Amino acid sequence: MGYLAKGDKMKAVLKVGGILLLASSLLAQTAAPAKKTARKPVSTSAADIQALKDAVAAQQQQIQTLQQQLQQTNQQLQQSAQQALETQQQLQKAQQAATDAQMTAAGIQASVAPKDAVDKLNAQYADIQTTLTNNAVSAQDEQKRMTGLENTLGRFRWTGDVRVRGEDFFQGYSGCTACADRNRARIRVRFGFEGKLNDDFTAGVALATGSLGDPTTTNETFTNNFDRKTIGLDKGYITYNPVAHKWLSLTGGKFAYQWQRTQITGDPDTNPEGFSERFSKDFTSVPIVKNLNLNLMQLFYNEASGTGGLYHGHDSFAVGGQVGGRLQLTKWWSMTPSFLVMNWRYPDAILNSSFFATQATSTNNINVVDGSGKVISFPVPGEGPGCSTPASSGLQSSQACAFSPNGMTNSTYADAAGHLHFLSGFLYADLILNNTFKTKWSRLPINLLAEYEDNLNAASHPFDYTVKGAVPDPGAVVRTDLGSQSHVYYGDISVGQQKNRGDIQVGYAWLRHEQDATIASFNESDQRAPSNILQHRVYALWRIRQNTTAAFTWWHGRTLDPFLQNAALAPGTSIATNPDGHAILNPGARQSDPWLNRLQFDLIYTF
Amino acid sequence: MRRELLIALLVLGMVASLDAIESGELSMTIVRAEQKMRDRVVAWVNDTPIYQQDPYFDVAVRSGDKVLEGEYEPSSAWETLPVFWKPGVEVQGRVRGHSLFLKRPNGVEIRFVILKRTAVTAIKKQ
Repeated sequence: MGYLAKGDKMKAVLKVGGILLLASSLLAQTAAPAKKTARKPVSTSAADIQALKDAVAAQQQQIQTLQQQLQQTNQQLQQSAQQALETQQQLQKAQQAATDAQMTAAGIQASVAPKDAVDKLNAQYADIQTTLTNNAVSAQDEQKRMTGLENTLGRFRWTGDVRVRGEDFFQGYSGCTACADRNRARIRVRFGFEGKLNDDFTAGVALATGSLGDPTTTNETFTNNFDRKTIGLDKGYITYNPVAHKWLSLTGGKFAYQWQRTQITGDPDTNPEGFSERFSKDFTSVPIVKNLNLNLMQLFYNEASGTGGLYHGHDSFAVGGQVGGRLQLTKWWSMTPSFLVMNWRYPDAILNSSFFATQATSTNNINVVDGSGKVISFPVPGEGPGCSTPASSGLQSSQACAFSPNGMTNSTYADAAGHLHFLSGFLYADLILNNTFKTKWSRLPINLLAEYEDNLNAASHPFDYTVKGAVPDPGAVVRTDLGSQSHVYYGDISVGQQKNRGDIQVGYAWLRHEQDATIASFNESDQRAPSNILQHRVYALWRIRQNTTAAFTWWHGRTLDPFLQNAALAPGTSIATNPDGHAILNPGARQSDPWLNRLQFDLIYTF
Repeated sequence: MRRELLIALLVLGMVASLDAIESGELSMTIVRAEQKMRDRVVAWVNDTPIYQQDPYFDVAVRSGDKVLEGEYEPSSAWETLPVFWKPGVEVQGRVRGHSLFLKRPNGVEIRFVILKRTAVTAIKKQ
């Protein structure tokens, strides 16, 4: 900011004044001795003029300097304006520069600068200020629009995953002619979003691949001539979780499990339908007990219309409740215990499902008349697993059949009318103790899950393999040497976690699942069979990237008691009775089912 | 019928107007402002959960004789808490129902859901 200070101006004026005074005093001094100094006045006057010329020249130079400084100021203003256009923060700086310039202009106007130049400068300043203001308003509008867009998009969260799997099956025994290894590749795609309708309500929608008739898996095998894969509604729900009462959460629709569970009582791919209420309270200042919760659920799995049918119009549903909590037992040991009771009402509807429910290929032909008038008859194809026909036979093979995508392994019988029934009722009592032990490596906690489940409505004794067809009196044909097949014992221990990139987790799980401990239709789809099994599982996971996991699982399992009704048997196996009355598995006269090994190699992308 | 409809509309209007009551802009003091992570299960491999860690902002501000604690889930992973929000710093904010609006330094409001309201005297006793 170059301009003459007040002192400089004063100095210049004083200089000129001083010179003039000296000149006049010189003239006064030479007046008396006029004769002596008659030749000198010419030279003194010239010096004075020269001095005056110098002073004027100095002033002109100063004016030029001022003009240069004005130009510089103008340039600086323009630069400042340019910068202010780029960022809102520079706005203040540019305004400050403009203010300085205005002060300068005002100062100059008050001293030596021409009025036109100052007016021009003021006009430029006004333009710059207008431009800056417009830009600032525009930036604010843009910001508002962006914030609005962010708020709208922020209400939705995409969810889902893509899993590509390679899978191999091996099962063999001496003399087996039907034991061929099986290899397949599969894909699972799930995609959905969750949206906050407002502070209190959340809604979610999700689509997934997989057969419409199999709720226990969303896999699609790479087969059928590159055909397109089925996609169905996997989830659709609304949750009410009011801000004013965060302890309350009410959910209705088709939703993921809202309570603690494992593969024992339901496959992780299954999304039940109905309603769920959760009451949960956290405790921060209470020792040990950090949370207590109560979950209630009402699940509907078959709706009956009218007053006819198997249950005279009664719908089939499951109602239950679970109490749970979170305990911090020590600094390094936390436990999530839970106890569930769930009652399945009118479950026989599962065994008498429609072809639509199982997506079976119908045996009822459709007749079509072709162009020549000829009637062509063909079955209606289904894309699902179809009927699960238990070995007990005497079952519906058309119109209604057993729904159990992975095989019906519970005890069943048919009445005189041909309707299929479970031998047992189903009232689950399920205790889960999920423990986490911190280690000195934060990414390698030890996880220990223990579960005990008992079906309180299981029959006292099971059927054996000889029971087939209609059974007028189920109690007369049970195996009294065996007790209730109602228990599940399950343990799973692992080291590590799956939270961040680079995390690894290695574990082993053991399961003993008796025949009628749970309904076979909804159990884990990857194990040897839905029930009546002994199963080992070894697994390892590696978080390759923040959203990508590689996993390996080795399922090693066999049927627990192959001589029970509806037991899953290895291919080519049949049961015979020895002369001594004992049952054997042929060929080989074996007593146990051969182990089935199933290897799964997964790559999972989650978002 | 019309009368009932009018009464219902009147009641609804009154309820809505009650809900819309605002505190007006106030000067508040930051007590705590932190970005935290919350685990969310995004998939299961059998019984093994795969987690994703979602960020959220946790703040506590003193407004008059009360301390308000609230949470906000950022709409994108790039959204961060203002670096100036340190304990003791004054910010402009307002309260509306269960919402706490705090102004960022650039003037944009962040809407926190109020989870807890505690009297300052109660905190001092602790």
